[in-house]
Amino acid sequence: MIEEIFSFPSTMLWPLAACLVLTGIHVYLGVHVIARKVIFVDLALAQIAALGTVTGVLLGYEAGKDVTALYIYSLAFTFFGAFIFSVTRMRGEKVPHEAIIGIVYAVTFAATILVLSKSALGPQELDHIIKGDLLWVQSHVVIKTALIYAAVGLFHFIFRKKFLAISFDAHDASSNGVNVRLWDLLFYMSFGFVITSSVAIAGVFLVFSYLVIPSVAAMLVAERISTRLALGWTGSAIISFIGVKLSWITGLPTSPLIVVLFAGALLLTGIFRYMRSAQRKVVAVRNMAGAVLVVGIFLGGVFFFRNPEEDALTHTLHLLASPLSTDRQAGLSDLKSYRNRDSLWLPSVIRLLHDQDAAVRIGAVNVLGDLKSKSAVQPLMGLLDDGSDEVVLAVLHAVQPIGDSSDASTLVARAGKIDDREMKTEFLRAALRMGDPAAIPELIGVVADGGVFAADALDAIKGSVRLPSGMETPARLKRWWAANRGRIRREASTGIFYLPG
Amino acid sequence: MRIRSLLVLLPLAALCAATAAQAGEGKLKVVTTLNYLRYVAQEIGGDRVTAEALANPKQDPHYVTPTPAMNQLTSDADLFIENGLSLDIWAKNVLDASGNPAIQPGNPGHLIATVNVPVKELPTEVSRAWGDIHPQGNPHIWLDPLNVRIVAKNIAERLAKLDPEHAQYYQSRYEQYRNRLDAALFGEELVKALGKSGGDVLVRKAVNGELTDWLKLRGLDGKLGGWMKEAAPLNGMKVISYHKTYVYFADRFGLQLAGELEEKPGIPPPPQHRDAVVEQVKRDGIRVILNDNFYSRDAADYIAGKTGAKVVVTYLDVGATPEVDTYEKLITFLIQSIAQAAR
Repeated sequence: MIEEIFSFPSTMLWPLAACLVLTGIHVYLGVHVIARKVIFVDLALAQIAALGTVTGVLLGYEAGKDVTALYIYSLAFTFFGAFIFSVTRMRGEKVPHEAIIGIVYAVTFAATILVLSKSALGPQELDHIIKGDLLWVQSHVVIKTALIYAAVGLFHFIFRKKFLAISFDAHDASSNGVNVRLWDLLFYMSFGFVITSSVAIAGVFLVFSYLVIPSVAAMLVAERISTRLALGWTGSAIISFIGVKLSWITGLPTSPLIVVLFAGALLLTGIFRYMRSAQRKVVAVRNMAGAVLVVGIFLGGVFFFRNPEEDALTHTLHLLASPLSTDRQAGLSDLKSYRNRDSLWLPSVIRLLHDQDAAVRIGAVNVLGDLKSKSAVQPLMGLLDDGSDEVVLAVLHAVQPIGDSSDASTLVARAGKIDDREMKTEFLRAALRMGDPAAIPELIGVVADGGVFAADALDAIKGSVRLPSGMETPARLKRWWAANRGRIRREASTGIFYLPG
Repeated sequence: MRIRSLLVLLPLAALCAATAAQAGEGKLKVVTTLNYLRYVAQEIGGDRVTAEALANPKQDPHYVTPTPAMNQLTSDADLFIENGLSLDIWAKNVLDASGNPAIQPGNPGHLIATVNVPVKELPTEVSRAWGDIHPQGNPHIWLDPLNVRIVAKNIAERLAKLDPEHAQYYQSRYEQYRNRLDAALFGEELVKALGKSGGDVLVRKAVNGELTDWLKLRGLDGKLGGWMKEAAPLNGMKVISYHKTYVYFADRFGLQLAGELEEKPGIPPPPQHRDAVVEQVKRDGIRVILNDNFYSRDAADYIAGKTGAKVVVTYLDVGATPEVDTYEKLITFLIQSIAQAAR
């Protein structure tokens, strides 16, 4: 049992490793971000990095090929962003720093769209920034990222006193002689360095979640920074493991699943804190029950008002009348299941014989042909003038089993006016199968013409006429027909022509 | 002051002159969503038509952000041509904003180019209930030259309807273009060998998937040329593609699409799917992964890194790069680059 819980598909090890690498640095940076009240700074820096990448693409570097050049572009842009964030932090907080960050985010996002409108990447790139590529991450990327983060982490560990001082009480730090602007710049530069790599792997949503949710959850239950960090790291590692594993089991996309699991964990932590800190437990339990009830009613209502499913045949009839030709085709193919209720759909199908789309007409011809009803012949024969050869061939195929010899004579008459040897042969083949021997001399004519379709015509004759052996040449065929045209009979059971006696 | 008013007047005057020039020439103004449609419309319209496309051919035709310039371009168009099949749904926004009643759906000035094209992958009843990214079937029909033949006919008929005085002109240009396509696909020698409706006969055989057998039976297989011959190495070759973009191309030239990297573009596939693709590429010895130029390469590179298959960056529309600036070059490019990567 325990083995089963901890067993892990080997191909998911690198995505999990990437999650753990993210956990290490982001939970730590998250503590700073929350203390500084710059929750959305990672979104803004990620967007600035993206703007750098797409600008690089616009300036001639190719995504997927000039990886290093594009990375330098995005890093340079991020450092520029770090510079902006460090100089815009105001001492009196007259303008909240979060406002500046929001503005930078919105503007860079818009600028990214502007740049993208001129490049080949298009909206996919925005999508990519948001969702990342956790599933496709390769081992060398994870190792490289881990090394980068270890360096950043070491840098922060060495100067931890300064970094913590400017994050938690910048005013105090300033009066203690710390150059706040410089250390702010260093903070944002290292932060941007991390974000650029993280977003490329995991996307904005997942990075944001690793940064903010563990720190917030830890804040709810612990005061000391070291305790918060320990809780955040442990919690994130567990969520990462569960998320990757659950994604494997359920087939759901990995990154969004982890984000939702983080939210679930935060919710549970919140409830835990509420219950623990409540003065009167009875009241707390009652309030919780009330909350559960409200959520239940909401979700129940959402489900109650779902769109009820249409009756299948009604749905099919709607499809037959749809303005989209592909809907009409789909409707026709669905009719197979309702053959015994043709009175309901027959008028629609007859109307579709004159649809503007050839594929729909073919579908309607096939459905009518499948009915094997004599009454279908007339409407079907009306399509012999159709502009599409495919439709005409479908009609010929459909009328063969149901048409009689007078319908066959119509086909022979038409065949006389057709230039295309192959189509002509098909008309005559159908006419012969339907019982008009007048098609035989016409087919012999095609054989006599020679050329590519002579064999088809001979084949059509042989398919419906029992010929004596040795009738391969046009001259012999012609002689045979001249001698026997008056004597030929048709076998009622098979429809084959033969010479009696 | 005087200079400023002059500055205002100059572009105005230029605009008037341009409009007058256009009206003077009496050309039909055709606006298309995709660039392949522009190319075909221009081939058929000749010097009686000016055709312009809205989408940037480098980008994914599913997602185009309409701009004011597009609205401006369509505001005085005589004919608006879209691919349809839920591909260029953004065209609706452009039509709404154009303020041009002539090109609204239902009017002769609006044409869905893919009418009469046999659409593949129509959703079945079950998948319709589940929702599908291509509710009207696979829309990338133009990568099969036989479908472009139909599109060309649709465009020719519509041009003739809008400009009946020159109906003969459009018809003959359509026939020329059709003959050129037939020759490009089957080789000129074979088409000629079959006489007057040779192209039609070959098209019918190809549509029914019996071309090769039929040619052999008739002893004509030596005469086959064009793309069909050039694509011989593709016949039966298995490839992986990013998205179901190449269904029509594959069916025409015998390529087998063994699987997709991401079935719904932008939604990461289930992890098992990824491993199944790697497994399949190894098992079937698949050597080529097709990746449209506008999709991220991470997925394709991942599979390539695990298996040694080659990633071919493909283009979907005419004009995505200068080397595919005509439809014919686009098809040639696809055939050659796939054949080369497999070598």
